[in-house]
Formats: sequence, C-alpha cells, structure tokens
Amino acid sequence: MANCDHLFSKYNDEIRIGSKKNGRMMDSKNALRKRIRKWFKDNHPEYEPKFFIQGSYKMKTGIRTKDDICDLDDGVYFFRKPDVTGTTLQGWIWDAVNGYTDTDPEHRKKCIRSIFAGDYEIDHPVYYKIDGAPYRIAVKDAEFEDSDPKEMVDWFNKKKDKEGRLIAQVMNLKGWCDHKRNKMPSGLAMTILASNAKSKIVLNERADITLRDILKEIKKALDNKFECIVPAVPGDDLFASYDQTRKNNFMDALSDFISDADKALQEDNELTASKLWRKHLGDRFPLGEDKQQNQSQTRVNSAIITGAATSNPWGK
Amino acid sequence: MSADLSLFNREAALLVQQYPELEHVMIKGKIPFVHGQLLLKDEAGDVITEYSIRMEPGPDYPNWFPWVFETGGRIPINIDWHIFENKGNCCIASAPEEALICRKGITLTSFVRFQVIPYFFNQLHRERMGFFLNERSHGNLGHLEFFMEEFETKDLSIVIKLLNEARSRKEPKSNSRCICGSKRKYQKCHRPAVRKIAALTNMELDHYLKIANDFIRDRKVPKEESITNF
Ligand SMILES: [Zn+2]
Ligand SMILES: [Zn+2]
Repeated sequence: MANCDHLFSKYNDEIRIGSKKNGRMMDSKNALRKRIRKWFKDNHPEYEPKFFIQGSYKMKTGIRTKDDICDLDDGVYFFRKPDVTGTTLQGWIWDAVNGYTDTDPEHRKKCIRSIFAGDYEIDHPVYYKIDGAPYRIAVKDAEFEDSDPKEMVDWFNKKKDKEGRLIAQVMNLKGWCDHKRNKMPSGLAMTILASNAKSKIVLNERADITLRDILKEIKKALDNKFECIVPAVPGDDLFASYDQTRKNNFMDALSDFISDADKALQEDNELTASKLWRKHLGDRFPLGEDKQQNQSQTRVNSAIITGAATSNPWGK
Repeated sequence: MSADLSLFNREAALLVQQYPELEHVMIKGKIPFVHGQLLLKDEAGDVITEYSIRMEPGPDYPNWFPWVFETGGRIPINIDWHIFENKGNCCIASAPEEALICRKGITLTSFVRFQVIPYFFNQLHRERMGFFLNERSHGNLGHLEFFMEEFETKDLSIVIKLLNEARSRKEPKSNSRCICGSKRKYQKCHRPAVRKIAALTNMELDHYLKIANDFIRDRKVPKEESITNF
C-alpha cells in the first residue's frame, strides 16, 4: 500500500517546462511576433496581426518530452476578411518567420512551425475573425475552417480544480503517451479524455490514486464509444481517423497501465511500486525507497481495516 | 410493497439516542429520514473521520435495507465506488446477503452499526489506500461470490448442490456424510451454512440456481483471481 504521491510530485517537476527553457521560449516568441508584425507592415500593411497564446501552454499542461522538447502555440489573428486563400495567408507567416531559426519553418496543415532544434517548437496557427461570425483557421491546401481555440481553453478552465490536480494528471497522461510514443493520442486528446473522466469521479488527494481512477474512467468511456470530441467549434472527433491497429494499440496500453496501477496501489514496497509506474511513465519517474511503507500510520490504518472487515459492497 | 414508516420512525428515535450526530426528521406528509454526521472511530473511541449521510426508508423497509446516501460530495455517484448511479444510494451488500440479513431481523440501529459503518470504513479504505478492502464483483458474479464464501468453496458445482439442498426443504440425517463430498458429517460440515441460506424463498433460490447453472453452462466459471474475499 505504498503511497507514491511524493514521487508523482517529483515526476511533475521533472517533466514541467523549466524556467530557463521557458525564458528562452518567451524571448523567441517575442522575437517572432516582432518579425511577423514588421513583415506585414512592410509587405501587406492592410493586414494587422494580433497574437494570442493558446493550447497547452495557456492551459499550463505543457510538458518537456523525453528528448527535452516542448512547444508553444502562438495564434496569429487578423480581424478582417482575407482576400487571399488560407494557404497564402499561412505562406505569408512562413515568409515572415523564415530565416530566424537554423532550419526552415514547416508549413503544416493548420500552422507554421518554427523549430528551435533540440529545445522547443513555436507553432503559429493563423485565424481571421469578422463581427458576428466565428473564428476561422487557415488550412493548408483547403479554405478556412471554423475553429475557436479560446473555447477549448475556457472549457478546460471550467473543468479544472483549484488545487491543480487535473492539470497534474493531464501532464502525467501526456508523459505516458510521450514515453510510449507509437502513435499514442495527442496531448489535446489526453486533455479532453482526462477532463471528461474527472467529472465522473472525486479527485483523490493522492496523485497515484487519482491517476488510476482517471485511467479507469477513460477506459470505461472509450469501451462505450471510441471517440474524443473537441469541446469547441467545429467539434472534431480526434479519433475519427484512427484505424483498428491504432485504436487497439491505445486500448491495450490503457489496460496494461490500469493493471499495473492497481498493482502499484496494493504494493507495500515503495521501490517495487515505483517500478510499476516507471513501466508506463518512463525513467523520468523517480525510483522509490526500498522500504515497506505506511509504518507511521499503522494505528489508524489498522483501525480502518478492522472497521471495514465485514463490508462487502456489490454493484449491478 | 412499501416501507413501514411508523416502524422506521420508532427505530429512528432510538437510533439518534445512540448516534447523537444524526437527526431524525419528520415532516407531515413527507417521507421521514435520518441525516447528519456518521463518525468513524478507532478502538480508543477517537474519531478518524466523519461522513455526511442521509438515510431514507426506501421502498420496502424492513424487508430490504433502507437507502443510504453520502451527501458531502466525498464519494462520486459511480458504480465503481459502490454508489448506484440511478438513485445515488450506496450499494451496501449483494442481494442474497441483504435478503438474509433482513429476514433475520434488522433495526435501524443494527443496520447502522453492522452495515453502514463498515461500508463507510471500506469507503475510507478506498480513499486512503486506493482500493476497497473487500468488495463483490458487479452483477451476478457478486451473488455467486457470496454463496461461495458462505459455503467455503470455489467450486460452483458444490454451490449448486448445496443450494439444491436448501431448496429441497428437508435435511439429511445429521450424521450422514455431507453432500459436498468432504467425507465429514453433514452437521459438522455444511449444515449451518445450508440452514442459513434456507431462509431464502424458493423463488430466490431458483433464481440463484439458474445464475449458477448459467455460469457453468456458459463456461464462465469465475477464475480464482477474480474472486475476492478468500
Ligand atoms: Zn457496489
Ligand atoms: Zn460439506
């Protein structure tokens, strides 16, 4: 019955974006904003970019991957109707940021990505908005699509608890997917699944118990219907494109994690329990001490065990 | 069937004398209830924790348990926490256990002491340690686990023999061999357990026999590791 809560605190500190990296990333973000503003002033003064940090950075659920990479989404907004295609508008951002990093920026489907090799990536999704109509995001080789990134952030802010337990659990789940790789779901998908699961349970003070409880609720929901709907316009299902292999891969990983999490909670030795968590979270999860736990609580624990001995709850 | 409200009220008055943190509420024209704090104490009498609860007569007290609700938001309305999701009441015991306890005779005081307090200790165990000390599987398997525990066997075919024995309503001679195959005398072996289970009605016994037979027929014989409480 090893309580690994303190190991989860250390793990969260380990995968959190450190202050030095964060400082560098903020400097880069500001420099890129400056370049983009200048580029439009010089080339298309009728377009005036505004910026809004969004995504995981905004939700404070960003993590450092095991290759020490993190990312930042800095949305570029134009409050006018563009007279060019979405692809062209994205291309202008590409031109603006090009030359700042050693490698060329990537023109991705829904953003321009600047890669700061070995350190972080800054994504610039591009939007326009006119009065009385929803936000629209530029999509490569297509037109604009309805998409409101603030809606997702607002939704998450309403779901999260003031103790920061949900945020910590989203980080744990993202750390898990990063450790496993192999086409595990995106950070956005894990944020949505965890937030939905959270409303079915009561968050435990212990992070290890809460993580197991969230994993179980995620599995229950996905067994019922394998989908992950973005709670913002246009309500995409992030799992719609998953084939059977990718789905099975995730569901199997989920079942394995639940089974080891159950074992870890019942394990008395802290080191043994920590190794069970490590199987899924990787070696950034700290090893526990090789000792039997809960000695100090023996009196209360034994009273609880005595009190519960005759109870056999059941359920339909 | 409906609950005996005057019995509930008489017993509630006695209950709150022993549990002063609980209050008995009677409002004219409404169903009476008991609510307040349920204190969980260690052997020295020190309070470990307390749960906010509400207890209602339910549909058929005292033939079935009253309904108990946790009202402090400490337990989610989620079947995995042993809270029924439709009504939000606690699922305290499997159906045959509940039936037998009620048939033996319960009062609100004995119910709180022997059912409600252990149930909440188990909830506390789950909260502090992440799992219930003991729990039954959900659904019919949970019923069978109860019988397997009562008959001290993991062999469903023996459970079926003993359920049939109870259903026959006649006892073998006390010094004949027990039907379980143990070679012990019946009275020293399964007689007490069969007598206890015989308090179930024919309809109930037939129901559980059918469940047990279905499990064997479908080869869904429970695996040992899925069976708790041994
Ligand atoms: Zn239950
Ligand atoms: Zn026997």
